Amino acid sequence: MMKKFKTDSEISDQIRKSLENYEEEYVQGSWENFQQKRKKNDRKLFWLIASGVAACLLIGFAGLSYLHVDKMDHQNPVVQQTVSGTDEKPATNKNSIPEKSSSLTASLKLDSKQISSAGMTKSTNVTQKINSIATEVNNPAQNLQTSAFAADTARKVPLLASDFQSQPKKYKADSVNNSRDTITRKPSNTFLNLPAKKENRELASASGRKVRFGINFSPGVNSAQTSGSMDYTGGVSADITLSSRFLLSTGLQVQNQHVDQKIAGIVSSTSAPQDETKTKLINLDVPLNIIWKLFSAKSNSWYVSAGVSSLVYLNQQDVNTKYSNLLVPVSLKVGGSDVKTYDIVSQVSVTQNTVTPTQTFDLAGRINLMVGFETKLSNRMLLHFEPYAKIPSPGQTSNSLNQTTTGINFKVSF
Amino acid sequence: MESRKEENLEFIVQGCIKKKEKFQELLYKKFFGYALSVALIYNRQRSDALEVVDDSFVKVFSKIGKYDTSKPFLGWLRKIVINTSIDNLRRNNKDHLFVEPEKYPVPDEAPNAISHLAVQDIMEILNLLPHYLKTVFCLYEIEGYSHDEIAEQLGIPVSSSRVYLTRAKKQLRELFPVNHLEE
Repeated sequence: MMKKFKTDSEISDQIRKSLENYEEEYVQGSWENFQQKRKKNDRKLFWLIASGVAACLLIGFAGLSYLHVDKMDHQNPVVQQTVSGTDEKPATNKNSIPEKSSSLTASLKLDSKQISSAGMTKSTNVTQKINSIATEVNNPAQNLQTSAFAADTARKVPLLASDFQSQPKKYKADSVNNSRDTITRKPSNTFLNLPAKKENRELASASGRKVRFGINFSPGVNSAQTSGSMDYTGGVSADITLSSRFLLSTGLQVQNQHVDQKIAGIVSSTSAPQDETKTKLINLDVPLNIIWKLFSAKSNSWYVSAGVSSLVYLNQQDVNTKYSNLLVPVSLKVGGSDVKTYDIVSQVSVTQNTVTPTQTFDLAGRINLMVGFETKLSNRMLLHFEPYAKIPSPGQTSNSLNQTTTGINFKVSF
Repeated sequence: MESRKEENLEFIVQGCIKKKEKFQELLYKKFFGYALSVALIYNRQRSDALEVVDDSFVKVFSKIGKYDTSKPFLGWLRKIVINTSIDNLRRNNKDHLFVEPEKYPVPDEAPNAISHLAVQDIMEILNLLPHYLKTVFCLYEIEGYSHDEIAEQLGIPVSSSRVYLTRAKKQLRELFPVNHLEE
């Protein structure tokens, strides 16, 4: 007897009743798959946060150092230089000038009209001398003089005049040279005079090079879906000094990767082995990174680096192994009657795929993040330790290698 | 017996709140089947349903501290699985949500047990419906959601929810005499 459903409520009731006590059974291996998936997500989240923090720090510190330089540019660098120059030299030094004279040196940048209008009338000889020195100075920093500075100079000049009167001979002999020496010095910047900077300069001068070449080797690990795979990179590098804190790093690296991926497919109750993809890959990696030196001591320094890598694939070979189970009907005779049962038959299929060399090119295919430490091996040689992460950028051509590589780069530069 | 089960569940939940993996495994294995059965109602493919179950348990473990122990755990879990299924549906089928298939899809071949035969038949019939009609029908008839709640969940107008329900019932009426059930 068959029942035909005529009304909507009958249908709905039937569906509701049927599904009420419906419950699937636990599928073997699901918890293990779940754990692996969760760990992978955690790793992804960690790298996302780490790269975000690194990028923020890099931008923050770069911005901060930029602001500092800007701030110092707004002040009068020449005055600071002359004053500090005086502080360093003892008064007895033949080439030195007294503290008050340093103000004079600064005031030399004033227009001669400003000086005379400031009421410097004590000694016409000195005024003439100042005017003659002032005409000798052709420093563009003249234009930076402010009215406040002029007023300050105006206050100091009468005192200077008296100083010159008391030591006329000494001044005549040395003051011009001193003035020239002082003025031709480059503007000082207190930020640039930080100890780290000073040491940085020492370290840079120790190498004495604008471009440092290096050779490197870096073992790493690929974050495959279910298992990590080793990765070896080696090559040459060139670090170009942009400023005492910033360097541009490039080079040519050969990367050899072996990636074993186990692909979690539809989990069946018969717990068939997971599908596998084994990839062998050799590629060229051309990095372009900005290095920023954070701290420098006499023989070592710390730095961070960020940039991109362009990739050319030289050789790629994929071997895919797929496992599947088939239900095969089998007829058995039990007690004279036919009984139909099913046997599970496992099937394995292997496919191989080779990609033509240099056909795949990823421009800026990876984002590089690095923290580095360098130490002096000799006067010309530095040893670098650089833990790094290479994160695939969105839209990378080779999807099969869309994974993060982490490792440590060992580099010797000279 | 039931109270002992509940006590046991409370014990497991407390362990999960403390992020102990052993208790998480117990909870996962205990409610996997139930979660999968709910996910299969809202997902046509078994692989999608398994993914939804895993995503749901990630949410369960991360938000179990907010679970009100005075309320039944199954209801809370069911809601999470349904919401995850809907999120998944919205994310994966954004472009062809409202497009009706040219022909009815072939239902997913899942391993059938004899005791589940009637359920499997019903699942197959439900899977013959376009995805959105099926979701609206199940949310309204099985979960007891109102049209306002369905509209909010699926991000569609309330009137559309009503229309989808009517269409789903109409199509089920046409399908049921063909796929009749034994009395």
